[in-house]
Amino acid sequence: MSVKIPIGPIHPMLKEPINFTFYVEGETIVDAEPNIGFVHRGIEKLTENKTWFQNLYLLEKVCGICSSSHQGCYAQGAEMIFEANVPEKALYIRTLMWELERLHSHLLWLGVIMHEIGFDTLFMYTWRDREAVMDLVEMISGRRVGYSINTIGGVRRDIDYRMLSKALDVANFIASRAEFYERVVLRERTILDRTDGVGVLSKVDAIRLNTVGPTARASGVKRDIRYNLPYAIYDETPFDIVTDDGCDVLSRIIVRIREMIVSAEIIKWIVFNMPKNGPIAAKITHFTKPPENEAISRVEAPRGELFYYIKSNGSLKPERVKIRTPTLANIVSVIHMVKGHYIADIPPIVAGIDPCMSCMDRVAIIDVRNDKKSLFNHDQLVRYAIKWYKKNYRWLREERR
Amino acid sequence: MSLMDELRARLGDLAREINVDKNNKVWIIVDLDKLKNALSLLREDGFDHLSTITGYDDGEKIHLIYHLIRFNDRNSEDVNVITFTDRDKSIAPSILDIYPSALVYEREVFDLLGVRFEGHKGLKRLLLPEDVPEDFHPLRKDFKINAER
Amino acid sequence: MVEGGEEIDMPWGIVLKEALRNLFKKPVTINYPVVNVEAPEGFRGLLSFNISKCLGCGNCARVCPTNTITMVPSDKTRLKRAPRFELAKCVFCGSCVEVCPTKAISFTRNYHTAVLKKDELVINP
Repeated sequence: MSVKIPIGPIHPMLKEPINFTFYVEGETIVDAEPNIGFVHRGIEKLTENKTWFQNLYLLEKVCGICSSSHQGCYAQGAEMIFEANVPEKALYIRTLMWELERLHSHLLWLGVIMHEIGFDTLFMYTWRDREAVMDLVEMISGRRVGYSINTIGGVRRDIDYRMLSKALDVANFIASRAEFYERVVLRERTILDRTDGVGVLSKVDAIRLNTVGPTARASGVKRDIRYNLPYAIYDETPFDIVTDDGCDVLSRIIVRIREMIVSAEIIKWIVFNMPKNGPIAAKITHFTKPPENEAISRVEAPRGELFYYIKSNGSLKPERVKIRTPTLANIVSVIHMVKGHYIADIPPIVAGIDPCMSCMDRVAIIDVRNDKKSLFNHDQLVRYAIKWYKKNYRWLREERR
Repeated sequence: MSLMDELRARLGDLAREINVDKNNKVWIIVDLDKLKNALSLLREDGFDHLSTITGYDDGEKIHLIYHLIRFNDRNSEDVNVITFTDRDKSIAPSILDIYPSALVYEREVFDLLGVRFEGHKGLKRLLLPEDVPEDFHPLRKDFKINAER
Repeated sequence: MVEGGEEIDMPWGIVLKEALRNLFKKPVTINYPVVNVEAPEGFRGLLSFNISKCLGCGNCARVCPTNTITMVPSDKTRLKRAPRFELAKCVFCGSCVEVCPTKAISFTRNYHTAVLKKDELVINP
């Protein structure tokens, strides 16, 4: 164990510390400055020292929640470099895993945002429902987290009738639960007070700042890599892009809930259209050398557009792997979103783009008027926010009307 | 191919070369001094989404690749604009006024490859701590790590 | 965007119903160290190694992404070397299981990886 210098891309997603500096005037935020890189692990540099196949398992560890998106995106790019013909069944299984991942990621996020606004009852329910997806994923791939289902040239495990019928059950169950959540979110006073009109990002700004994923779609931007630049089997899959014109945190909740219903529909379509038999991987071994080549691979991860640039120099190890995660693309939008809002709105706004829970581990709040600097940790901030809203919700409600 | 013709007509002398590879990806090679003109023309043509800026050091020069998308329902197109900068001087124009989202991407390339973007105010390290030495740019090819035990 | 005027003014309306219903259900969590869940078939748990099948080819050590496997000299195999596993480093990717020509390495369904000493997670040939 003598890796001394950690270098590479960071991954501002889950359980990852971000440091924001907010400039406030009284209760209102006038500017914000994110400071990232605290869990920079040097993965981009490390990929240059591992073989093509070893990198599959390294890049899966970039994110624990969307591990399959990362691995699949890398595998997709590597297949372009190896000029491999991926069997159709492999693409179906890969897409099934991607959609299951979207389901459990959105359920996890829904729990997180409910926790941020102090509505822990729904947090418990979403995480309980998420277990149904996790059990299915464990059954298909052999592990709950870090499925390692993709390989260069296809997938590693075949799927059988038992798993497909369970996938159908899970899709139906999650779709029914998502409808319930949508009803709750649109009717529950507690949620509406904290999210309606909070963290506004207009459509023009979303396009200008290149926002990606559900955050952009909640601002009415009809952009989805699955639909616009179809990969795997998405050009045959019938589905609609979910958008909402609210532009606030409430819209982001609703878009993600509706996306769960769409994902459940896609899973059902995959189950009914899965090729009966056939190979699941092209013949590429650990010791195959690729031609000199470069490739670009884009995948719609649960949080938005995931981008990989891969270059090979004809040896067993890649020359360069560039990763751009969706949260990095959205971080500029966060700065824009928080401006003009109250300190108490920071947790739902920052959680609204689906970064990590501990992203806000340490928030420095500088009061512009008397230049006092105080450090909040995340728990204190949530408690402060709940207390503040208890005190102020009456006039706020009037003001927002 | 219509996209190729459109790009050739639009960019004209600005592009040194326009290629399509086996995976139908378009690569536009431009000179460093024409980069901003080319990008603003592409931006006007609807390529308003900048996926990221890739920096890559091949040992002699640093490649900067700007990955753009034009969203148009099912007929969306993506192009990649490549430019090269000198390894020792490593200066490139900032495109912040064309693509505001380049804010973090330019900082990342500066951090890991040491390319200075002229016109980018507040260009500082993004990922590495601020107290590392000035010439510490890990993604350069002459930077070796003792990874393999 | 917000529909239905009356129900909104009914605080805790929908969730309260669901919460009351759940009061009379059994908890979904499991009392873990006391009660164990059976891992499903095909679970990728701790590795098990059968040295009598091993040839000593070293493919597993070459494909391992985390250097869990190192080849050490051994008299028990044909090529006079055998893998040594430091399971604390293992990421359960299964490359070694796939690449092994004689299926000497296999997954168990054991997911209890917490130990008191690191040595308990080492398989010596």
